[in-house]
Amino acid sequence: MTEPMGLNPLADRQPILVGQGLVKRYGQTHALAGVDIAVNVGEVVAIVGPSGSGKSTLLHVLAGILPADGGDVLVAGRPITRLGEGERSKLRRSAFGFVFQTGMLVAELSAEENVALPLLLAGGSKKQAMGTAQEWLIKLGLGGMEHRRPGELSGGQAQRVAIARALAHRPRVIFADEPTGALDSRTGEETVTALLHAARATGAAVVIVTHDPNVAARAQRVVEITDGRIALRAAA
Amino acid sequence: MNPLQLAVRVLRADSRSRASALFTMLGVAVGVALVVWLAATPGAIQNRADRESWRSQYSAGGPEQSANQPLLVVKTYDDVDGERVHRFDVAALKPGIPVAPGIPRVPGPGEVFLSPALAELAAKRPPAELAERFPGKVVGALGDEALSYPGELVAIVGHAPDAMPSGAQSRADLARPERGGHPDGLLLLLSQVGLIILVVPCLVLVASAARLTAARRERRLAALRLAGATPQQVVWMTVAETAVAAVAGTVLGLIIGIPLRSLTSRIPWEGGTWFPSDFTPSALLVIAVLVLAPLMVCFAAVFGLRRVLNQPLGAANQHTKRPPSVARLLLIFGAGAIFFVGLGMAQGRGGTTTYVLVGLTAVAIALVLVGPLVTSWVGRFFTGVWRSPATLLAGRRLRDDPKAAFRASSGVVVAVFAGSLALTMFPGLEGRIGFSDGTWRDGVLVAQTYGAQAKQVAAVRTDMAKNGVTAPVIAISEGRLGAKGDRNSQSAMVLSCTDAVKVRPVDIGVCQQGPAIYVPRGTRIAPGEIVFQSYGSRGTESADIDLPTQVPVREYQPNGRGSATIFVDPALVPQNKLAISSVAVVTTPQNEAVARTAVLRNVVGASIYSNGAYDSHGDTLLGDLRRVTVIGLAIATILGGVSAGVAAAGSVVDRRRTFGALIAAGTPTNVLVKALRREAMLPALVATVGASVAGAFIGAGLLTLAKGDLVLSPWLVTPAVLGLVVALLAAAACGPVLRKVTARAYAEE
Repeated sequence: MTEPMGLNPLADRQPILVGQGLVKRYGQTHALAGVDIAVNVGEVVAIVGPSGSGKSTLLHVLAGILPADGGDVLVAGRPITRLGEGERSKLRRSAFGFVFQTGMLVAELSAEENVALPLLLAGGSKKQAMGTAQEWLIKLGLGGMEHRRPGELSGGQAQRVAIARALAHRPRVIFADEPTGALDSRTGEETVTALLHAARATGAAVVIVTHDPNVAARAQRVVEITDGRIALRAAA
Repeated sequence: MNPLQLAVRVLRADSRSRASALFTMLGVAVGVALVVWLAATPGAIQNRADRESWRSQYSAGGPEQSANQPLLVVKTYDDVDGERVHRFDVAALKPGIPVAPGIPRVPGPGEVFLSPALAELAAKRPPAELAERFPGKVVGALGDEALSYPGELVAIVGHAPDAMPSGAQSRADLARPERGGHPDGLLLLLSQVGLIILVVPCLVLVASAARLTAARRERRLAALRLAGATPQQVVWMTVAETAVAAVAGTVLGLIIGIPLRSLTSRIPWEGGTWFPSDFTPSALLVIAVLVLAPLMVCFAAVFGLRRVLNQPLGAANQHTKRPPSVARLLLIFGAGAIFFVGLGMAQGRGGTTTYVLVGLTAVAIALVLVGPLVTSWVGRFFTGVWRSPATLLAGRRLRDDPKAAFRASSGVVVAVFAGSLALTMFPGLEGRIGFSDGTWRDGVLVAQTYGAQAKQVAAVRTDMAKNGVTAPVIAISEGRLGAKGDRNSQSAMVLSCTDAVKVRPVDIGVCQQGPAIYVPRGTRIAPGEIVFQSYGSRGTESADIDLPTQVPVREYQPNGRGSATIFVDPALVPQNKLAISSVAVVTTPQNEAVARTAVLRNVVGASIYSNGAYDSHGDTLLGDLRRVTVIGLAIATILGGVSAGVAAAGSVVDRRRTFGALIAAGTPTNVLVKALRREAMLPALVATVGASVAGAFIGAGLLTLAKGDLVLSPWLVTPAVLGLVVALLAAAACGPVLRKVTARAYAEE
């Protein structure tokens, strides 16, 4: 199922997400020390680097989860750095999708309900949200598992539900934080393939934080970060 | 590394485990302090009863003394400034009669012992207002051991045997009986009921505290199980982790209990407060709590680990939990059956309330156990009909983990149960309290005697006049009136029309000339020869006195429930055949104290009744009942609220990571707050209604033991409404905790 991502026809030179001179401090430590990064529409960018280098912090700042101490984040040309938590929260649930290391699905909800949740939060009706959720689960090969709880799914299946949830509301950027970190290599590869396929289908850009060189190799561009600074930018 | 070392390491390294241990400790401390206090309450009531037990040990016989009954006693009561005075007129027939602790000895003729408060009061007021009521010299004070409560007004007045007033009874001694005192049945029943219905929320609080952040601990221990730890090692780790907080909490609770005792001793009951030592728990109770409380907390924590022990993978992966069995519903019916069978046994002859109390405990526990089942049903209903994400999240949580979801409501449910029970019982108990029934006019003092002499009545008048009081003093003889041979004679008093108008609330109008018989309107006296049957007393035999024929019978309008009696003009009966049973004095607030003193100085052995004093006593009892009800309910509400708050906050901490991820993905915090609020409110809504109904049933049952009438008032819905408000407020505790959960929380564990 692997696909040469460099041929993604939806990737163009129009940036959807830009970070300019991003600074983030934790006490005396500079987690980010002036990072500049741009992600184009439909582009897949991998952020790699050693533990503690600042890659997860960069993802959190770009996604508006953490406010930057310096610099700006622009989404479709609109700065979000000075937005309040309420507006950033709204942006996250409308323009962004998230895939976490262990899926972070709501344990009490079924697979279908987990996928429908962002649509419901965006104000969608129950019928519409559940219908869309079902479509996405089928697209991701999870037909028949709609009513299973996260605890009844394998790690790979749970991650695919998380991907469906991230994409169901058709976000413009998907942030994936170590999406294969808890999976074996084969399942991890299948999960990344599913993510990239689905993202391509919706035209969403993907920002993946990963340790895994195989995952990084699937991105169109790799950004290596060390000690809070960009060390390398390379096309995959 | 042994379990204790591991536990200490976890506490050192993890600030949230430390905070959780601190909450557990505080929860245990509050629970232990209240349990010890509640458990000491029946003992306090018994202590009070023991101290006053010397007062009511009479022989079955009258004043005929024998070698075994060398003491004559007349027990009467009086009032001063609205406070009751307990008076004992005594005469010893031989020296060395045993006395109770606190009584120096049996006073000799002309000797008086007063309680310190009465002595102080007597010293403060003019002698004619109080001190002169106790003829003789005050030779000592009664100690606390002889008093029911601090500040009680008690007098023991010594007499020569032949100077003892009418109505004296013989006794062996003035000592406490070996079997101890008989506590006030109502207070004892209330305290036992209170103990049970408040201990349950205490236990819920302790269990909630012990289970605080249980899910987090469960995940950690599941990881240890998967890493190879044996079930036994996991159990010991949990015990070690919990025991540190539980032991510290138990010790802290016992320390908190000391000032709590002092506060409790200030709560009045039946006219007085308590000695702080009354609430001192027995050494056995303290040792039992010291051992059992930590054991119970550790047991609660270990009991919650069954899943980790049996299915570590399931716990680590958060598999769906088994729903509670429908069989739990049988518990409530079973507990109800135990209660009502116990009630039947208690109502039988010589019945004991033990089984009733066992049944009450069973009902309270059953409510807590049935709650998760009801919660799961509520969850199932809402997962079927949800329209908003908040309802979906709440419904799913209620359905999937009803035990955890109900934990927040269980304390409130027991508080609602207690409230409904109390409000069902309260009007009935209130109705049992005696208030003046309109037999006498306000301001009239009625000295009830076993037979006073006319010269004593005259002496009362003289004494009053000496002190500048010229109030009417009226001697009253009582008996029955009817036609000769008629068995249906009616209550009657020898009282002139003009005197009757002064002392009884009757509407006679203008008294007509000439002696007559005055009967309440509608009273029929069988035609024929009319006879007045006088009651006898010491020195006067009961006698049938034929009234003159053709005596006029006039009707009057009685007012008040107890005023319907027949008045016979004194001119119609020969005075030497009558015993004076009461002496009535018409007083004003200004001269009442002097009039009381004049009566008691001259009519020794009389108990004085007045509407004001009787109503004041009724008000005191009513106030006591209201106070203990409010205190009990306030404690139940606070306990329920705190348990609910602790459990609700703990549930947020347990799901911090999930909530963090949801917030990171853009879920507005207020949606989560709303979901948590629904999660707390929905089971509380159903369970409080159930608890309210159960409380009303049990309260109605208990009321039959207290011999009160069942009065259902709209106020009965108050506990359910209040319970929902408390549940809502407790759910609000989630808000601040949830707002501290940041979007990054998902990455922190």
